[in-house]
Amino acid sequence: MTTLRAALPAGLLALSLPVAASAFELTSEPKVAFIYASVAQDGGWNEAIDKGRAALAEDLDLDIAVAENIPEEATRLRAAIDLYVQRGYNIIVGTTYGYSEAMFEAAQAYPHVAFFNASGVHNGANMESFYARTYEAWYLAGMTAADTSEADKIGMLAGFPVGVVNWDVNGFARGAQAVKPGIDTTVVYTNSWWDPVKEGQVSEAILDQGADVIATDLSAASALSAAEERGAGAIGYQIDMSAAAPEGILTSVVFNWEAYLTPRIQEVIDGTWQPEEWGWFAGLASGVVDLAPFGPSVSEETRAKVAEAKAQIIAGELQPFAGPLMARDGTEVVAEGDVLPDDALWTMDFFVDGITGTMPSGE
Amino acid sequence: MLEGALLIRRQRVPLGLWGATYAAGLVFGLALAALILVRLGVPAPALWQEFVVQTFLTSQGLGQTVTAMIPLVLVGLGTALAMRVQFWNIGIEGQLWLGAMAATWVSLHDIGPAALRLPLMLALSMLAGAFWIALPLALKLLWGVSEVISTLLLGSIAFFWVQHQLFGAWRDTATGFPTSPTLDAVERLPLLGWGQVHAGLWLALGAVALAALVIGVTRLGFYARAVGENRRAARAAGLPVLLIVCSFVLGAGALCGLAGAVIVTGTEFRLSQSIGAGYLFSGIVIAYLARSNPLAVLVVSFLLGGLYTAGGVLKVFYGISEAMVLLVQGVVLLSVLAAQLFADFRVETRRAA
Repeated sequence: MTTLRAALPAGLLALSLPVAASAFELTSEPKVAFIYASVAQDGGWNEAIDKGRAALAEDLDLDIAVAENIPEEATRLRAAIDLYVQRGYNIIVGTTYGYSEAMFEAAQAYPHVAFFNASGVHNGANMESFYARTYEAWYLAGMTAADTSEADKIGMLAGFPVGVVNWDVNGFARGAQAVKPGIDTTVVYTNSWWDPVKEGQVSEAILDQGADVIATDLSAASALSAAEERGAGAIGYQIDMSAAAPEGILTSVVFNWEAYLTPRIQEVIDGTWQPEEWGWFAGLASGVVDLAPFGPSVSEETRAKVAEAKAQIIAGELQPFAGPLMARDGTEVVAEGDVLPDDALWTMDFFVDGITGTMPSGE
Repeated sequence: MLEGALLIRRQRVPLGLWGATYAAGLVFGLALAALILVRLGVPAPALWQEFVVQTFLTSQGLGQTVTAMIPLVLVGLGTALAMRVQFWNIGIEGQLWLGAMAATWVSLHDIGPAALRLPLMLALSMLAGAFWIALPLALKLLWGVSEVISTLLLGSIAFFWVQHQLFGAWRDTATGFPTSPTLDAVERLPLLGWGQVHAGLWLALGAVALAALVIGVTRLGFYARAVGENRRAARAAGLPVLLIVCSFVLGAGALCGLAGAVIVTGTEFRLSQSIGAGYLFSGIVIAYLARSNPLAVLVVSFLLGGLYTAGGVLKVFYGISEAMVLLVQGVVLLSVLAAQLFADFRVETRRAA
């Protein structure tokens, strides 16, 4: 597995504890708690993790506590962690990068508790952050979109211009270009993670500009509903969003967090867990990120193309961000024969060539 | 015959009565909240344990409550000062954001020697908060623009400014996420060795003491009361109305700005988009419940901090949803507010004519 090593410059390294050579061991019976920043059934990000939690509970026969709506504030999160630890919980899973700092401090205060954080940034002797190479699946989604599009113009909604979002956008555009080199990918950032009304309107605006496929990198399905009404194709994210667009759905980029959580928590229980020094970060090969079943309008031919690319990505033969990779402003980001390194992924703040739209505070 | 009830405003509210109505309101609200919680499935015996013992009587719970209280005291006090001179500060969060940004700015640019960094961050945050309230104050004084609207809108502008900084120049380049890089050790308020309680506690207590002193003992405080009661009469009496209004309102902005810096330097150690949420609501509730009395601000903030701590317990162990936590908190606050009616008025019943 490739690591996050290069992603974490000196400032962060100084904060991170060196990972102990020995495995982490629990000192009491495993008690697991999940902490969410919003409701668990949010129709997207948290729901995907909660699906993983439910599978984990069943696979390992655990009774898992859940706290919802714990804000991304150090005091609130720390209070929740303190409460759990005080009552004997010793495996705590957070679900947002906004928990990173406070959870890392808690990990140092409670060395006998195992901490996990989805899309977090810190790792240590008893803490591991995890995320997926979502751009690999978005590349496949881009191929599906481009192959289905007749207008040769596809659209995508995104939240905030952070690395993990920008790589989805660029991965989507690269996948589309792999099928149709000249295709236009129109991208709009909504500057929020969850705003169903706005997302529906943005979706319509992109369709008004002539796009015939809408993909969303957000947690609400309203962008897909808008596409369905117009008879356009739709691509969802986080969970299978086909319910919002039963006719037009092409596929969804989905998480299967249990593919990570179940074996990982089992390791903690077995006393064999050694946190990844730079966090756990894997893609299609791990199964943590994947495509949902294709919709009725995706042709057999497209399915075959995507399946082939998927096999190549899993085998390591195809890299979505392999050179030559040109940014939209004309600079060459990756030369022919090279691959974009992981540190550049996390700080990605450019559009690849072929994207229409504005990145707030970017470029 | 019909009975008519008449509310008659009391000229003076006896202190004992005032305390008694508060206590009765609190007890009634808590009883109502307990009823709701039991209906939601929280076992009745757990209520006492969770909400009184855990929140106020254990060292850990009390530590959490006090930590939550610190910024609440500052914003509550800020709102109370402005309220004293009839200035409705609805831009608490805006001033808080400005203060947080000022502190972050000093940290990012390593301004001043390390030993003076933290005091500089705190001082500048007060200036920034005062500046952000000076704008609506000037608008009001010059052209009579309603400060309710202008402070509220400036709050939104401040938040957009924060977003602009976090997604732009101040973004943590190590992670790419929209938070500023974490503060150095010298830029953090020292912990007091009790949970997460930090030295901001002394700032909050100092601010309360200073405000109580100014309001209770000094001539300025006496004048402020006159201005608050009737500005035109105060002006007619020859009081320096402009000076009094400006000093109280700017002081209010400075305290809210300081709250932002205290959150950044005391608990968060960086600027993020989620640090200021909810302080507008809290500040107004505190100032109102405390009737703009600084010492009462301290008490109310402590109780509200406890309510937040208890809310965390509800979410963590009983799976109570955010909406229900807010409902329960709202029930308690409303009943305390409503109980004031019985302190302010006496009820007389007489036969209708």
